[in-house]
Amino acid sequence: MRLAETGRGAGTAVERRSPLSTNRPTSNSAARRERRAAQRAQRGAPGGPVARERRGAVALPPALRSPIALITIGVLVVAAIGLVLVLAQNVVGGSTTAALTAPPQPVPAGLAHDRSIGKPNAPVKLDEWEDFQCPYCDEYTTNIEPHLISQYVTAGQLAITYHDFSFIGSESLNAAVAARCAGNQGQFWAYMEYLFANQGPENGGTFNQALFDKIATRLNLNLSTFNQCLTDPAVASAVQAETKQGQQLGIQGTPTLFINGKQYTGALDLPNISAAIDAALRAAPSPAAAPGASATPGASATPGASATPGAASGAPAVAPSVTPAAS
Amino acid sequence: MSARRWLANERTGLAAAMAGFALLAMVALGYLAVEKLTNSHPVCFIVQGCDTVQASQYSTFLGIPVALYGLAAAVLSFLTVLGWWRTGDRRLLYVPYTLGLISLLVIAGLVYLELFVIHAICIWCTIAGASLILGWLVSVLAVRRFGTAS
Repeated sequence: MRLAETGRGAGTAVERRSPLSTNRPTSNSAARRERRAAQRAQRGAPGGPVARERRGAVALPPALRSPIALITIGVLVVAAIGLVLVLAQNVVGGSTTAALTAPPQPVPAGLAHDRSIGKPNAPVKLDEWEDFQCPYCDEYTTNIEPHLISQYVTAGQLAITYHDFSFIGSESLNAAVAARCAGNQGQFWAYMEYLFANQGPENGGTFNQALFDKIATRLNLNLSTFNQCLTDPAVASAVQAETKQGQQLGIQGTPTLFINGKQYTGALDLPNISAAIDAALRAAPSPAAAPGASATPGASATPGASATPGAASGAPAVAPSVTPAAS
Repeated sequence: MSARRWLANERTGLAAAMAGFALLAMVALGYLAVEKLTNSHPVCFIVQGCDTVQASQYSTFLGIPVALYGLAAAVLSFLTVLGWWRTGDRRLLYVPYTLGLISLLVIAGLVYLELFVIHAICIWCTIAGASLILGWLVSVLAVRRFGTAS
C-alpha cells in the first residue's frame, strides 16, 4: 500500500513532474544562456568593459569606429600630410618656382624698357638677333652681355635691343611669344634672361607652359593677362614678322649683332665685342650732339656694313663664327 | 507601400542622383581632358578663363591632365553607384563617398589656384567640381541611410 501509494504517488509525481522536468529546466537554461549572452555582449560590446580593457583606458565612441568615419579620418589625415609636405616644399624651395635657374645677375633697375636696355640716347646701339633655343645665344646672353651691361649700359654709353630670329623650332616661337607677353607687363628683359638661364636641348620640350608660368610667377606677372597673351595669334605673328625682317637683313644664324647699324663679324667673345663697342664710341658723336638718337631696332640694323673689331684679343671665343650652324 | 519597397525606391532615387552628377562630371571632365590632350582651346561661356586655366602648369599633375584624374574618379563613382543600386551592397557606397571626399579637397585647392594664383575661372572645371561635390553630398545621405549594417 505504502509502496503502492508511494509508487503511485511517485508515479504520479513523476507524471506530474514530467512536463516540468522536461520544460522547466530547458526554459531556465535558455534564459540563463540569454542572460549570459546579453552580459557577454554588454561586456564585449563597443564601449563595454571588456572592449575598454582591450583598447586601453581611452575608448572611441561608436560613431568614430564606423567605416565611413575611418575613411573620412584617413582621407583628411592624408590630405593634411600632403598639404604640410607641399607647404614645406614651398618654404624650403622658396615657392613653386624652386626648380627655376636664376640669371647670373639681376637687370639693373630703371634701365630696361620695352625690349631694350640702356638710355635711348646712348651713343652706341647694339641690336642683337637671337633665338631662345640657340646655345650660343645662351652663352652670349649669360656670359658676355652682363659685362656689356655693367661696363657700357650703366654708363649710358650703350643701348641694347633684342630682336627675335626664331628659326630653330616651335619652342623658339613659343619662348619669343612668352618674352613679348612679359614685355607687355614691363618685364621683357628679365624674362628673356630667365629663358636663356633655363635653356634646354633644342626642341626638347624645355620651353613649355609650365616653365613660362614659373618664370612669370617668379617675376610677379599677372598670370591671367600673361596666359591670355600667350594665346594671342597677333603676338606670334609679330615674332614671325621680325624673323622675316631679320632674313631680309641677311641674317643667317644667331646670335647676330649689329653695332650702330653695322653687322659685327668678329669673334663672339667679350674682348672683341668690347673693342667693337669702343671703336663705335670713338666714332660716334657725343650724346649732346645727337639727343634724338633712339634705339629703334629696324632703323639701326642696316645690312651690308661690318663692324669688325679693331683690337681683337686672343681670348677664347664662345663660338668660332656666327653661322647658321652655330645655332 | 511596404517599407521594403519604399527603401528600394529611396535607394533608386539616391543612386539616380549620384549617377546623374557623376555623368555630368564625366561630360565636363571628358571634354576638358580631350581639349588638353589635343592642345585645343575649350569653348568658354559665362566666364572667359578656360584657356588660361587649361594652359596653366596646374592643369597637369605628374604629366597627366588633372581632368583625367577627375574623369577616372567620376567613372569609378558612376560604376560603383550602379553596382550599389543593383546589389544593395552597402560597401560599394564607400567608394563614391571616398572619391567624393578626395574630390572635394582637390577641388578646394584648384579653386584656390584659380582665384588667387591663375586669376581665371574655367567654367567647365566649375561644372565638373560642382557635380562632384553634389554627388558627394548625395553619397553622404546614402551612407547615412544605407551605409551601416542594420
